[in-house]
Amino acid sequence: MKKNAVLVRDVIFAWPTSTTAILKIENLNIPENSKTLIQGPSGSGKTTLLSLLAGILLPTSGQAVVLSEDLTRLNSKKRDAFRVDQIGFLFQQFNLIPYLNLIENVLLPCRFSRVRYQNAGNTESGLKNEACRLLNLLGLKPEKFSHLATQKLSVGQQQRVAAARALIGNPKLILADEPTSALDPENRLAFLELIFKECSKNQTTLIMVSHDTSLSAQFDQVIDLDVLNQARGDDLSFAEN
Amino acid sequence: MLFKLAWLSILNRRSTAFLTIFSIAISVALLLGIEQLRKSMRNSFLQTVSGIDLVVGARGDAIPILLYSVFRLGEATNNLRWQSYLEWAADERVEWTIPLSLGDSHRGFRVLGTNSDYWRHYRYGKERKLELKTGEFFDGLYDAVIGSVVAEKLKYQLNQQIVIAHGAGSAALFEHDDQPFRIVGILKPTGTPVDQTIHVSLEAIEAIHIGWEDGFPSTQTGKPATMNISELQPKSITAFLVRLSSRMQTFRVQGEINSFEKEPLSAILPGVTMQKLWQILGTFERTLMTVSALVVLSSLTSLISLLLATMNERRREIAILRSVGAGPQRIFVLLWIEATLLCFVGGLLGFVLQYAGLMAVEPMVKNQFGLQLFLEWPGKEEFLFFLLIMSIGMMLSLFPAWRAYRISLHDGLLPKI
Amino acid sequence: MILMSFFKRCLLIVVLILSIGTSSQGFELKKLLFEGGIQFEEPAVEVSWRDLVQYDYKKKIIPPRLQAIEGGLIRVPGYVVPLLGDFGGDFESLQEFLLVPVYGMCIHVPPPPPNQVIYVKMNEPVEVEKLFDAVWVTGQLQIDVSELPNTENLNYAPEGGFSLSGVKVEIYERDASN
Repeated sequence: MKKNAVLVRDVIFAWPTSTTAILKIENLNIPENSKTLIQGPSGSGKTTLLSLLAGILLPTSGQAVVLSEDLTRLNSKKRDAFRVDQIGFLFQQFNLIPYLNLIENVLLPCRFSRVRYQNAGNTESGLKNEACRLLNLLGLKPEKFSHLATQKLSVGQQQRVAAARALIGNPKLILADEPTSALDPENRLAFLELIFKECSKNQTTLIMVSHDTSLSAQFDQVIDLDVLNQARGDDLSFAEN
Repeated sequence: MLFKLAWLSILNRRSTAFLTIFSIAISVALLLGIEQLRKSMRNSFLQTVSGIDLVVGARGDAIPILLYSVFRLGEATNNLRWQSYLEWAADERVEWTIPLSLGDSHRGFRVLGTNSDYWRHYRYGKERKLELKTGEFFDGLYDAVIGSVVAEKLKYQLNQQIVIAHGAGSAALFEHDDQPFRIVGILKPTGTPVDQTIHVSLEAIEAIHIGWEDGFPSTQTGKPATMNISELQPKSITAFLVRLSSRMQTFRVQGEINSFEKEPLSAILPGVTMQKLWQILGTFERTLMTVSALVVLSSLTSLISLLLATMNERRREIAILRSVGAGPQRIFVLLWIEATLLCFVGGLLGFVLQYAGLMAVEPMVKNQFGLQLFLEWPGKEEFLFFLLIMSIGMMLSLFPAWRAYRISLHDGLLPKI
Repeated sequence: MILMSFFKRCLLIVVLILSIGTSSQGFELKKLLFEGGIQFEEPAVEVSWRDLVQYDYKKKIIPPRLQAIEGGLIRVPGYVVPLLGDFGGDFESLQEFLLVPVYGMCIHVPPPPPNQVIYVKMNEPVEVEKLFDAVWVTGQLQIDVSELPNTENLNYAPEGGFSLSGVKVEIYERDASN
């Protein structure tokens, strides 16, 4: 049986200061090496779910096991380490740090994670080569763009750099929060295909949240968050913990 | 790693941060510069004259006597009689004396009447004698020896003729123009008020005041050629400097001069009087220092508030860093390093600026007050001062760092842009 | 792990810098203001002005208590009356001064008699910023000195006085006897 990259059981999440549950998920399984799309309109808690899977937020109750790690058992430092070692991120926009050049932006995770540093080449020059390789793969020639300030790149170009950063060092899981929403509709598919190709090559699990329904055909699994999430503004004040 | 990030972040921001850094630099330069100036002024006061045990003038307060006799600042209210001076100069316990006669000026520079004892005994700094650059000490009646600053500012040469004015103002309303003087000597620079003095003989002072008994020139003025030098015995002097053969006698002699029955005199101890002067100046200096310290504090806090204000713009950046593995503590340290580095750059700039400023001010102080500034390489005290300012900056830097920490905790991946 | 200690290390550095910064600025210079010159083996004898006043400077009679310590190392408190010596180039360097038992004595009439004044000459110039406070001076005591090169040619008999070759100056604090 295929192992699960993500296993979520009976998770309820509410912000610490409130008693209204935002997320209530009985069961969520995401197999390894798959490409999953979690769909839902804005405000439905997609980013919150991603934050839970990333270990940035902890569920108020329930179990969240990501890549065989029970997140509720790790302290915040361990979760930070876990996150950078195993997970790559893609935000919707403004993914780049303005005062770092392209290569350095891509290499950021390697600076914070020994595992990814080693995977990406284990030496400075190796790292740079790997970054360039990924950028090339994603359609950006680093020589042409490296002298530009990151703000001068188009949104599409910025997203490619961010994708390279998410991929570098072969993390086992990639979490993407609406990565194509800022791109032109014509380019969205092409962008996704590039990411898919790399993920398949490295056996990386991809979980993407988006409100864009046009992309669903590309994915192995499409989950509707409204169906998955059973929280209907329940008040937790009388619930047992 | 974090250092590199912080540094790159600052470089990116340099145009906005530049003004605040500059204001820190200026305030630090001010604070350090005042301290340096203070010490330097002390030194230059102390090196003006050496080896004098007592300064005697007509009865009066100690500080004015010190100021007008040694530093040529201010005026005496009264003179003392030549006879009294002779009596004390002859005292067995006195090794030597230097008589001084003040009151006249020439184009803003003080004229000092004295005799050859001045050239023989006057010392300054570390046993340094007064030396001539060119010419010789005065011999004839209307000879004058001028200090280096006088020569430089007024562009005087040897054998030039000058006219002495009555009183100390720079606008000569009453001049002794019937009796011009001739420059026979120019002194080497000393870094003391000697540089700004025109020296003539005591007899010459007497000569130019003949007929001035009422304080105004009378119609009959003496002709230079016909005056007999013996008639020109000085009648009074302003003050005299005393060196005793035994320092142990200092109190005794001082007490006796102060209770001299023939004339009311005041003998002061120059070392003690200078200390009193420091005390008075000290309060003023401390106020100045406090004010400039507050200015430093205010410029540091304006930097910090700038960082706090821009923290909102950086929420996205913080979220990115969190996503690549930087925990909230790391974010805290990053921001702290950044703020501290900014303070440091500002402080360092201020340190350098201070020296530049002092070097610029040095010639002005020399010309105005005749005092030499002793600028030295930064010593232990300057560095410690600097460190103290930096550590305050470090503490203030905790505020934006803390804010960033809270942001990173709170926002997670959901920055509120 | 590494981070927490980094955190603590930074705090430590801040505290360290602060303490160094403040301890040297604005504090009293440590009690020992100056020490230099010849090293003596025997400890300095503490002398009070009550003993010194016993000295008859007119007749040059030295009482036995003072005879015992003459020439030796003594430690005596007092107020400093600076003498204007040569400027050593350092900030406020002082080499010669008079030591008197009462502050402000120099401005009072009558002047202190020779047995209430010690002429001190330090072996090296002292950087003393706060001369307004009382100090302990340690040095080799000489009595019956008149500081004159040769006294035979003088018309008057100079009175004797105290002289100290100073080696150490410390801030005076209330713990001492007297």
